[in-house]
Amino acid sequence: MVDGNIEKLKRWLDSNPTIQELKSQARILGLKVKRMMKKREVIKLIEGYINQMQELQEIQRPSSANSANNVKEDQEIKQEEDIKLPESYNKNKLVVLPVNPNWLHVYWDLSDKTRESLMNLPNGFRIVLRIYDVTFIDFNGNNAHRTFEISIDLRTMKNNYVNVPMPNADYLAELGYVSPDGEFHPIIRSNLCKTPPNSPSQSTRERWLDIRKKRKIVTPSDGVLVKEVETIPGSIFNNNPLSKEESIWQLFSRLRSGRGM
Amino acid sequence: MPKGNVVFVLHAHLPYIHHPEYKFFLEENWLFEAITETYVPLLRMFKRLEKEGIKFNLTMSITPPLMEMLANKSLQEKYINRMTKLIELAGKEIERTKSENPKKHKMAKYYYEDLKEILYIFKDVYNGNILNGFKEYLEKDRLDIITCNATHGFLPLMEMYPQAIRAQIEQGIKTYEKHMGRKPRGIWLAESAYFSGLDKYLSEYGIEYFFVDSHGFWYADERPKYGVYRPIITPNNVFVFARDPESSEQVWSAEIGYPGDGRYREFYRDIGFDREFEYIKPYIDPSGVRMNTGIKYHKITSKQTPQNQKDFYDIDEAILAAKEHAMDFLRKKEQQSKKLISLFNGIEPVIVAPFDAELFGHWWYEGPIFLEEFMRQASKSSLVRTLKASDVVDIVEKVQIATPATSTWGANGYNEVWLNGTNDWIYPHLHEMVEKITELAQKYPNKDEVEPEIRRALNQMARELLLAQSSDWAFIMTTRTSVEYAVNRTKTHIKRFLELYDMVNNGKVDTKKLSYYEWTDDIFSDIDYTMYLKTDK
Repeated sequence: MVDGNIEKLKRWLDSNPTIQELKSQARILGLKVKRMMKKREVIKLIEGYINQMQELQEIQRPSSANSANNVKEDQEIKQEEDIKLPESYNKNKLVVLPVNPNWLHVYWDLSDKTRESLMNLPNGFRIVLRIYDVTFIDFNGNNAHRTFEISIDLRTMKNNYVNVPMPNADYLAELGYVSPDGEFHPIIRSNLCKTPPNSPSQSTRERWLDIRKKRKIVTPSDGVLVKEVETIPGSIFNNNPLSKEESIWQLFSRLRSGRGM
Repeated sequence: MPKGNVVFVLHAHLPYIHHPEYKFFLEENWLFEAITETYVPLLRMFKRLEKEGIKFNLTMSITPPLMEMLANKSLQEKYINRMTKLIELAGKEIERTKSENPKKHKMAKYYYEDLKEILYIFKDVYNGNILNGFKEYLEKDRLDIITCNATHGFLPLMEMYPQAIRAQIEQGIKTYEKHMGRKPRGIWLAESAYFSGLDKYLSEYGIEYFFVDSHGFWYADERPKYGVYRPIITPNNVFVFARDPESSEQVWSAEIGYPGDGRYREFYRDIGFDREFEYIKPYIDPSGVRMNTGIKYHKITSKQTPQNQKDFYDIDEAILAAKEHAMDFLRKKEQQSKKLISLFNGIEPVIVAPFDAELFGHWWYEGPIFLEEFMRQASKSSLVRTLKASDVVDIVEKVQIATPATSTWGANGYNEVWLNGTNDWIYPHLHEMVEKITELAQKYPNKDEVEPEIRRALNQMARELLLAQSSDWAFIMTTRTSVEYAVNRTKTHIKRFLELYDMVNNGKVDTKKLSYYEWTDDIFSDIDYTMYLKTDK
């Protein structure tokens, strides 16, 4: 949070607030206040926060979302603060989304009824997410190429990231439970999700369209003429280059670099 | 003699940010900065080239939210107010810098004149709506303006909802027609994000061409013989162009790209932050938040130089650098073309160089000069010519049929910039909104038979949904800077949508609230919620 409140905070700090005021302000700022802290220490804590925010300000464009004294016209309905969104839509839903050739994102929602019955399963039952590779298959529930399971804790999880072996493949997920005898009982089935390809096609034909004659020509491929040398960047999320030291335009150019650069 | 064809594509986009409830709203400055630094300088460049009789060709996507903002009267007025203040500040700076440094003083005078001219172009030449300027060059056939999906929504993550994809495309086309008075021929897909099968929807709406990143061709279902250097056509008859990685790197790369040259203007040193508070106060956020003014006196110097040790900027030195770089880029395109022409046995290569428009001018202050000089020099080249994407579509006689691979222009080439731990929480809501509006559209399929208040609420729901879908919010969450605004915007649209949903379901519309939402989220006046009826695959 970087904003004009910093200037205000500085002025307020200069106005010699009491230790109680200081502590409560520090808590509002989300700082860890220890019970035994002396006034000087709390001031130091807040000053540290101010410095950190000012550093951030160097590279960030400030946002009106948190500038306190914006000139507001008289309006009866004001900008909402701290909006609470529904935790659940009370529907049974399992959705699989492609992240990249090797990762899927799976999220779920449960109706109150389903949630209750799953939470009350007797001992020895496990809740699992099962992933199926159904590439080129008309799936009937048990004819997938491969399948694997992930245990799920419904109390703490609403989604998961799943590593999958094959790019350019079709995946399905099912959420259900495994009974003590080891049998899987599906409850919700997801949409079909295709992972993107990440290597050239094996196809050996070329199709061409002659636009003037409106004619299609199919020929065996005699190979591509441009041999592309692809540079594969490391994952941007691994070495955490999205640090605050990085200026926004460098960040933009990195995030919009595609795969070709 | 065959020539190399260079297709420059500028993707002009900003998320819809309009807060009529505030006299001053910081994020509205994103638009104002882009008008001053990018959009007007581009128009000025077109005019200059035209006057010199130089043929230039550019493809430009102006996204629907950007068109709506540029045409918005209240934003136009706010821009004029902002510029008037800035010109006042620039005037003071002339006095102020007299005793400081000759280079600063020179720049102060430059800014004063430049800002006045920009405001003159905005206010007096185009009467507040610079879209008319772009339209003029579209009509003169120098510019190929294309559309984008309605709110720059990230289409691959809507794949299971055909109605959501159709709504994004349909509204995008409708908005283009409203402002440009004709149908768009091409589309820039938000984030260049394509998934296998999307071409079917584009073809339904008569779109003739779109663009993908390089690996969209490299991993296509059948390998394109000419790589990324000729368009292909999908089985649904839509042309596709792919990005040339070399051009991107030369211009766009943060590490080795032209914009990093030490002679260019340093973005991060601005008098909005450097001047003492009392002096600068009237020209920054009224709440006292410091912000960029656009008046900057320092050059990059070197990337290693700390911000407080940067040298002074000189516009003439920078213009020289931009011209050098334009020549260098042209030489590189000529060499590349020569190589490709011989490899292709005389078939002409098509080199596609797409960029965010705001790179030119906003991030890279001298970008418009570079572009102008490139167009000037390229018009004299015997080895390359510039073309618009639509020109290529019109002259291609034989084209390879293939389906491009699922891909985006985001880091690593897929969806992870828009789907990761920082932003995955938005998708359950966005998907639920699509299901809810579809459910209500099916309940009220004939809009003319629906009570006006219910109809208004349904249309507003469609607006809130489209606004929530902007890929910008997820993108900003990933950058981890200015995140709060993006999170708040997403939540606000979801909340408003859900409130309206309840109102429609209960048959009791709170018209005061509805009117307020119509007033603050005032995009797409012609919206029609029944577009969510188009569900069949």
